[in-house]
Amino acid sequence: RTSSVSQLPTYLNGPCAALFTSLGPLVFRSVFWLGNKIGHQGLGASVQPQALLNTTTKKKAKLSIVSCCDMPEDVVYRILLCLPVISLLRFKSVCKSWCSLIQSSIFIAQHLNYRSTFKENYNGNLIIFHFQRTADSPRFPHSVDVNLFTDEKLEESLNLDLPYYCDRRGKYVDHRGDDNGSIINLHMVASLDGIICLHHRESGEILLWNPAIKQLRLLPEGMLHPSRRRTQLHFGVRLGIGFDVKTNEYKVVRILLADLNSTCRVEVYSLSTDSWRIINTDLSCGYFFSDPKAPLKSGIYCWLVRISNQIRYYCDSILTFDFSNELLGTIPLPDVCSIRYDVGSQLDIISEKIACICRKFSPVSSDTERCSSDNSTCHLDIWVLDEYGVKESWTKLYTIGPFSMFSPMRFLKNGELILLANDQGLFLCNPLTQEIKNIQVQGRPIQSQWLHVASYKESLVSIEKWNGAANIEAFAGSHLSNTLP
Amino acid sequence: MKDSFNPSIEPPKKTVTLVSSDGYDFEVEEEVALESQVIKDGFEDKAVDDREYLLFNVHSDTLELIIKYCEKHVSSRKSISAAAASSSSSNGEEALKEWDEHFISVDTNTLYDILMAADYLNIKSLLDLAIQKVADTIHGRSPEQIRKKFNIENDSIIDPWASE
Repeated sequence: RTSSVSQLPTYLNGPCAALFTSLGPLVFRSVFWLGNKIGHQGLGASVQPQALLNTTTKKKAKLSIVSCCDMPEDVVYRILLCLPVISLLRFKSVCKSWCSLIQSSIFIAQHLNYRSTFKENYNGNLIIFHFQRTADSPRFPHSVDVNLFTDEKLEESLNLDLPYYCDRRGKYVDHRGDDNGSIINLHMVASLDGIICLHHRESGEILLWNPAIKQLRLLPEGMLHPSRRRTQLHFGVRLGIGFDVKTNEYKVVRILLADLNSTCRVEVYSLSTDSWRIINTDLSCGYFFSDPKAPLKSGIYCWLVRISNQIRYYCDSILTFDFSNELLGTIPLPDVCSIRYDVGSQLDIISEKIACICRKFSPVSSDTERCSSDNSTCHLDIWVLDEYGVKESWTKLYTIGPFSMFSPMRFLKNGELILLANDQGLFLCNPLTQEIKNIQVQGRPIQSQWLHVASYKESLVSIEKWNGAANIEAFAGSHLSNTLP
Repeated sequence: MKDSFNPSIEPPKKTVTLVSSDGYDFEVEEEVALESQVIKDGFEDKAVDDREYLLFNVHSDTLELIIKYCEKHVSSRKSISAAAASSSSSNGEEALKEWDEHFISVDTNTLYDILMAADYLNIKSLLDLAIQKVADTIHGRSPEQIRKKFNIENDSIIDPWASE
């Protein structure tokens, strides 16, 4: 592509000759610059160092790209980074080098952190997991719908086809409905790097699911078992997912609640060993209110809980689990932000900071505080913990409202808030203009009150590759519908 | 009187000359040319009267577009910062985005020429724009179409899309 030297002499008079010699190396330099830049940008917490060390795969792939393509390798690399998962899966069959590149850990990590400004944003940003009553099928009273919203205004949604799977007792769990309605006990715990953690609260089964690459993984049974005193077996179990930057792996924490005066039992699952390990703790939590359905900065999970301590009978606080040191901790709430009477307060993450959305009823009287009255109105105070772990850094961002009986659900990246109104479905609220809009799925409002809302970003992250644990046969028919443009 | 001895002071803005691969001279303002990291890096090492760059990878048609892009970005950056200084509200960035979108909406060959030139001259914002545009245009294609587009030989053993 470089022009032949023969045409240069026309311009090589006087100072130009010197120019040519100085510009010569630039031709080659520009090709390599981008490569270096890419190597340093966008590498977030989830890069596996083994992948960084293991450069041979990438080198190989890149070299062959150069030989087979008339575009600089780094330009091709960057074009691929901009593409949605669905295109990349298809482009694996373009040639061997593209295939190994798209499967390489470093590409997967960079693709995950690449803030695509892709015009039609297939990345998605929000998942709503909700239960449906199917009137036309009385035999199957409940089914689960998983909707992925692909635009900021929450107007476009895709239906993610949750794979049906076979649990450890050999029973099929089908999201489209089952005989005894036990599907209602399937909960969406959280989402991280395109991986969705699911928990079946009746069987206790935990699943990891990456809908973009159609992978589902049934985790092995935990070592701890819920106490017999609780009638509904796994209702006293809380989970969290996170990424351990020290060992570079995804982990799941499982907390078994105790009564207010005994300690919790905790265990951690790591994807690389495919096993559980018990963590010692002396904390005791009696009740979990809410969690952000995503870890803070990928590595710390937090829950809004009721903790018992020696001084007072109980205190509402934030329970944290740090995946890199595997320690449980607590962060106090702002003093004025009490959740004593209202379980509708929500923990969330705003701009990588812990946020607490506190619901306050007005007028404040003992009656309305207990949120018993339907015509009472509420305000939402949005508090943000500016400095992690420092109680003094709680800052009130703003107050919004009044609303009639809304529960705050989740903040979106653009600052808009999702609210749940009993029997009326989900609403999107702009805190500045206080405008409220009904969220609809394929033209219909969401009827169910039993729903989970989590932010989501599609990814190529495999939940099978850490070891070859062949639990693929544990599920069948996993296929993603409607993702093709 | 003094000015006639030093013609570089005559125009208020310093200029550099960019020479395209097909031999056309383009005289552009210095700050416009400095949008290119490659030119910027080599700039300090050069004598003042020596500011002529041979871009033997960039055709005059493409260079014209590149200069148009750089001029627009330099001028709108100035107006945005001026608006910010006078704290008057402006939708300069929005307008520039729109302009970019219009600018990059070209036929495939031109897009690839711009992409290669932006890579060669290392103009980051233009390269980002062109790369995103290429990604936008190819995301729905079949592997066979991609192979043709990128001139890639098919070495895949299993190719479920080959029939397309």
